[in-house]
Amino acid sequence: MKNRIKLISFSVVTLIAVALFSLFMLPACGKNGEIKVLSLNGVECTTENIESGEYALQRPFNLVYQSGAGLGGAAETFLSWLSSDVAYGIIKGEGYVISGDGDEFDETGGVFEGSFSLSGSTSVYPLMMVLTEEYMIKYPGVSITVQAGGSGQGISDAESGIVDFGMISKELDKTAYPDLECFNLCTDGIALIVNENCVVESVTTEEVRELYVSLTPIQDTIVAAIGRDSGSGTRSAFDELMGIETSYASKVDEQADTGNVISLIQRNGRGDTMGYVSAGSV
Amino acid sequence: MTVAARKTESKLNKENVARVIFFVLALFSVIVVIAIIGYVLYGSIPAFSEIGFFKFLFGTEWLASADSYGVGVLIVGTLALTFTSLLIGGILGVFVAVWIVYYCPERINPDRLKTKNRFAVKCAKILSRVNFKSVFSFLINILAGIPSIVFGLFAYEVVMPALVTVFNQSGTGTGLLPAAIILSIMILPTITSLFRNSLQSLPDEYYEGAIALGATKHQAVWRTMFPAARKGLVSALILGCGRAIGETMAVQMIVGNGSGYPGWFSSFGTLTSNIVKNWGYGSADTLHRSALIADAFVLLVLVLILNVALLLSQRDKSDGGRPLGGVFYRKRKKRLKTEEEDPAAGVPDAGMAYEFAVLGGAGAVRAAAPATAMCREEGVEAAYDGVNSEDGEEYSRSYAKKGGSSMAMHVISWIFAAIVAFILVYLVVWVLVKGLPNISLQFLFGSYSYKSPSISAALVSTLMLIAFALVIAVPLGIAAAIYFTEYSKKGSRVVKTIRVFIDTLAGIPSIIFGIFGYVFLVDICGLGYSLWAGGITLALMVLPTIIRSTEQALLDVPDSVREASYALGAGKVRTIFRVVLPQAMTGIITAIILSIGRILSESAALIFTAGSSGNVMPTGYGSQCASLSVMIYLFMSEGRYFNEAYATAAVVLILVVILNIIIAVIEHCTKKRRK
Repeated sequence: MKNRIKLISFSVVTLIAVALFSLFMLPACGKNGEIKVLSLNGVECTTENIESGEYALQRPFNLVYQSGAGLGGAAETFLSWLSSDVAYGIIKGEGYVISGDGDEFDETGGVFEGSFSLSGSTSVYPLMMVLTEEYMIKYPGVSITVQAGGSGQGISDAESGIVDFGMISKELDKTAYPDLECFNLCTDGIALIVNENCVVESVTTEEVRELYVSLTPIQDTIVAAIGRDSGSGTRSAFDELMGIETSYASKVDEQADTGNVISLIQRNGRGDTMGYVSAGSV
Repeated sequence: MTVAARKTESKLNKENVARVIFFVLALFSVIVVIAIIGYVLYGSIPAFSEIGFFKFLFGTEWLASADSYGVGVLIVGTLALTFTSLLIGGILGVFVAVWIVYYCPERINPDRLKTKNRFAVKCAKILSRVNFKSVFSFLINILAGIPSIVFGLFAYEVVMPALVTVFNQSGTGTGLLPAAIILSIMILPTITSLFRNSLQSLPDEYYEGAIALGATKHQAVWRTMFPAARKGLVSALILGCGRAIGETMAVQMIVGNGSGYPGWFSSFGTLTSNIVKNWGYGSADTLHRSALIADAFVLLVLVLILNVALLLSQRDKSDGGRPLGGVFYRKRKKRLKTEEEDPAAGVPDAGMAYEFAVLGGAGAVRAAAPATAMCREEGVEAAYDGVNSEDGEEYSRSYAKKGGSSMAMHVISWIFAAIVAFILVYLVVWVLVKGLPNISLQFLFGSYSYKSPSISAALVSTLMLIAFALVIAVPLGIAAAIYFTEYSKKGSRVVKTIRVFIDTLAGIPSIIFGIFGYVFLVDICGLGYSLWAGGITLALMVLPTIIRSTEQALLDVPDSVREASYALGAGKVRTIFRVVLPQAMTGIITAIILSIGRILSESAALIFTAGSSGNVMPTGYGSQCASLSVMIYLFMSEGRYFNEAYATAAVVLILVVILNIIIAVIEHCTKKRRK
């Protein structure tokens, strides 16, 4: 009996100790910080700088679709709507870069009944959600499904006809996919992000390349890096613009989603990790 | 069975037609397994022939840009992660199982309270109504129902920052250690419930025999019962291992998917995370796609090896060597208590229990003979000495001083149970605290807009998926179960083979179902991302659960009921549908609810088949739509809706709790009625 009481009290004490530790220590460990966008070569990642081309780390958002079969009526109308002033306004409002103001949308001859689908880049996805939603509010007869899965999936789904449009956040390689037509949606920067606790404000292309290729610390502060998976359009645009031709250092994370990168950086209280995501999503 | 059956033999009548139909439906699982293995092998042939089998298997580089693929590093990653998590999860799970069965106090007795403090007495009175054993088991069941992505979120939010701080690491903390910790929590329910079943199915005589021989409670538990259930231990560990190998969504978030070899805090990849990460990139008919399918094939082979191991470890059991999934322990105990179905039939009587006690006792094999003799001649007290003395010298030793190791195990089991209880409660409270404040009516039932997202579409699509999957799986599952219990001869070869296939189907990781669904249903059958494809895939996944739980329910119907029905002149089919099935209804309903739970928490397979678009209300089974669990992933992956991700997680958790409460109530009612 005595032993039993001893044991029960012992385990209760253990439980309480662990509980106290967790309740007070864990939140302190996971000092959440907001994310901070770094300047590249002294140029800030702003819409103006992206539009003027000063901020070099940028890529187009494209929609790809099969050229041969021809789009369905509703999908085609949607495509022409994307060049309208309304769509341009939405795109700019969401923080993406597009030059010009767009044409007035001509509703005559348009089809506003039916459904079509899009899949592809997780970077284009948030913008496309906004665009399709506004479109569906205006034209309730149209039903559009959008899903994210990476630019690679966008291309392969569009090619095999599983979806009507593939969303890609890079240039389309016309020689590899001769059957696909490409529609330029807008331009987006790639933001280099760190936790706000990080003291670094600006980095150079050289530093970033060395960090990803060989994990060479940047200004003795940023020692770890998060990349994206190889199917990501952001990744291929980033690699191309940064001149990274080999694979990343083996210890560099390769996350499958924009959200994972942001989430990890937010919880990187030491501010020693860098990642890159679509500028529109930060 | 058989008068009616014999009469109608070799005639083409209702009875025989029914028999054939049931048999064909029972064969369905076999077809599915063969189709999956066959397809995955077929899909990987281009990769194996172009890259070379061994080059693919041992290659260390996976580089799509250079069209160079090798899974060597990934295999190492998978194995390292599986064994580490099995080590942690296995030890925790086994101790917790023992604790639940032997040490967990069922109720507190308020009369034994010494203090007169009114508050304390009141507390004790309230607590005395709670059955701690049921509460703990309930929590473990809920842990099993939490979607994988929620564990990933938990790792991001709590585990990884904590580990980074504690171990003073740089970077975000992705790597083997956090992944193994999370994975061990995820496989713990499997291991605990399976091992608990084995312990509970041991005959009480073993325990009583050990006690009668004078062993202390701890000695009886750790030296008699524990070794007696070692077969159950092996199968529990193997099934836990299978779960760990196949786990996808949480793992891909935590391991970091780097290209290197695993280290405690260095990013690495596993076979499953590699598939999820790269699937979108490899277009159909490319070498990359084929290499990914080959990756899945390697995973499938690992799982099949585990299945064979399981089969071998259980071969000489008298109940047909049938490993049981984590879901049936509820009914199993009862059934196994009947004499002829005893799983430990290799240990026929209490005499063996005595041997266990002695062999387990401190090296006292040579004490066995005298102890037996003493037991007969001088009673229990003398035997106790035989069990407890190391050299047989001292006679009147206080047993409290002896059996130190058993005592230590006892203490450890309390500590581990406390740790697990803490993790469980913390996880549940954490999800609710993070999620509940973000739930609103608009979020639940409003229409989706990017400014205020809602899960109404996901709720509808989840309901549709559940309905469709059950419409396919329930008739198939019940038919197969009927064939096994009502028609097949005991121990027949065919039935044994079919069972092997069903167990294999149960062990196939959901990501492989997803790939199979994508290529076969979405692509080849041309269903596109649709609820059709998702529903069919889910039906295949829950089929084994339904078959085995229904079988359990049918076996619980006493034979006398069938005999009475035959005696009244009813035919076999009539007996089954009018007498046996209604009796087994509660069991079947439990099986259905378990399947609903599985569907609710499934995500990997659905992303590949039902698509991941959560904004548009599905208009029919042809439309694509995310389920609730996929919705968590979707909110998470966009990087904008973390609050919504937690809110959805809380909704799923609440639904899982409700389902478990329903099961508990059903069981309670059945028990009451039987009494």
